[in-house]
Amino acid sequence: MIRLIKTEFLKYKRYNIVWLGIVSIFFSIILAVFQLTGTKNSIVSYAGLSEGVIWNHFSLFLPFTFVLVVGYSINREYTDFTLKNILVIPVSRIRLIMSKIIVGYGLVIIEWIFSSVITLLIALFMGCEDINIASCAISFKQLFIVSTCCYIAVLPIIIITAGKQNRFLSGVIFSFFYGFCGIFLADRNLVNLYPMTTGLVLSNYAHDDKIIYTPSLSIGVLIAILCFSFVLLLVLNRKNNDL
Amino acid sequence: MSDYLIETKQLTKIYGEQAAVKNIDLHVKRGRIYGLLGRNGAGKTTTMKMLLGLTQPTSGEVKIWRKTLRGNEKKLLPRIGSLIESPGFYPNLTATENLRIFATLRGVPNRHAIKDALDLVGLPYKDKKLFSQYSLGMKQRLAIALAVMHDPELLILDEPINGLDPIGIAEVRSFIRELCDARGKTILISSHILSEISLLADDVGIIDHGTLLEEESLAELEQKSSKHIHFTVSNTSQAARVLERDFQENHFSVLDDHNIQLYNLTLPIGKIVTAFVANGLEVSEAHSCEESLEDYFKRVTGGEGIA
Repeated sequence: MIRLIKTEFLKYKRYNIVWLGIVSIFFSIILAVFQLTGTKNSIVSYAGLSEGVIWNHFSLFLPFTFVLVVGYSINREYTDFTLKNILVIPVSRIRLIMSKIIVGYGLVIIEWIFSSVITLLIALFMGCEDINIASCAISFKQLFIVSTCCYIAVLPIIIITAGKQNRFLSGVIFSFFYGFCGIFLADRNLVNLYPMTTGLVLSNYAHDDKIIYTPSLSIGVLIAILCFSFVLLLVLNRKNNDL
Repeated sequence: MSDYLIETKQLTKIYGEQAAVKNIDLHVKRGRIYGLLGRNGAGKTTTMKMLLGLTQPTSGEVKIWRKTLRGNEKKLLPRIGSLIESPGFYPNLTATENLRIFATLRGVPNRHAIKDALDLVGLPYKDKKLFSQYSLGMKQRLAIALAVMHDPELLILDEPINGLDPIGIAEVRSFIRELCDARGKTILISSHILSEISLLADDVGIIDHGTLLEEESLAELEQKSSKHIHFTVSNTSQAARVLERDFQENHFSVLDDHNIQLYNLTLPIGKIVTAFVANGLEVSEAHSCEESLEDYFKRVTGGEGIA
């Protein structure tokens, strides 16, 4: 498995889709800046900016970006005709996709660092006064949790669309709406159960008193998704996918 | 003990209602080059994919090194090098980077394996050119390098000369021959080009519409298709005795009870017919045939398609 993960990282060299991911994340941050400064008498703060970035991340940009980048890396094994060379080594499909998912999480970590640092730099540039170690720690922690939860939430989509060539494109569209629907559930108690909003609960994202966060429920949902994803992987591996 | 390195039994692949491969019994001998010859769409690639476990057979069995492929993939596949259909590599990486990925996955212990494989096919090591910038011929060479990089005992090569220029074809041909002769590799190679197979293979299988029509050594095939005199007589056993006794000739084939082929064209047909009649045989047909290997393949496969 370590060899597989190592080679998956090598495959990302000169890989343009990664840039698309970076641009997507950057847009999310820039949008948050506009949202924060666009309203009259708005107070520009680091905490406010960070919350805006988190909101745009989970509801608009992260779900489809994760499915796009990881789905594309799986899909290229079909389109570049490399899958046949891997299967005859032999490497099973389940191990191949698992390695891509693990490396995909590596990209989530890179995305988290990129988001956190850019958000902080923009806050510094905007002269936010509430920048201190504690607020940085909260922002970094919340971004990390939301990114990780978003990634877990889209795992079934990545796996379901991994079985056939070019199916990941429909996964990208679905994941966008999957994330977008989170907007309508974030201010209701369903926030604990909807996979895409579990990150808000676990990161204790700012909310009004009407909503009660139940982290144990959200953790249960995420564990259920991980189990479901593993079952999907087994099903995918068992399916007779002739090349 | 079977001397076959690859043996298939009633190997069949059906897609929907169409049979791509029907009841193929393939026998590839150890240390020889087996040429699978057939027109495009005959079932060559499907057969090879089944031999590599890339496609599951609808029925039948694949045995490699006398072990069933199914369930023994981890033991068998690392000993096989393959090139199936078009070369498959990552376009954003160089040839060396691509081979490094597969060498890492295979756990190739030889540190020089990548360089050696590239040298073998005439591609530069650590070149900065990306795979996407390669010509079709270079891509094909790289695919061959990948197939041999881990020093496999068996090579399964599907149309390996596709896209190569004439010099490249000759190089690959002599390289494949050397792999078999000098290094004792067993090679299964497919092609739709008759001349390629006849220049390279020791044994030939002719496949058409998913059915293996013939399987024998190239020498036997050449003998079958060579120039000969064909006789249709009332009793071929007696005709054979006449040829041996009266003409001291034993270079002939008895096809069935009534048909016999004589390969020595210097013998006079008239005298042979007279001798047959004098020995009480009825001769209903006697003519000379000049069938080339190509004519033979055309006849066997139904008349057209093989270059």
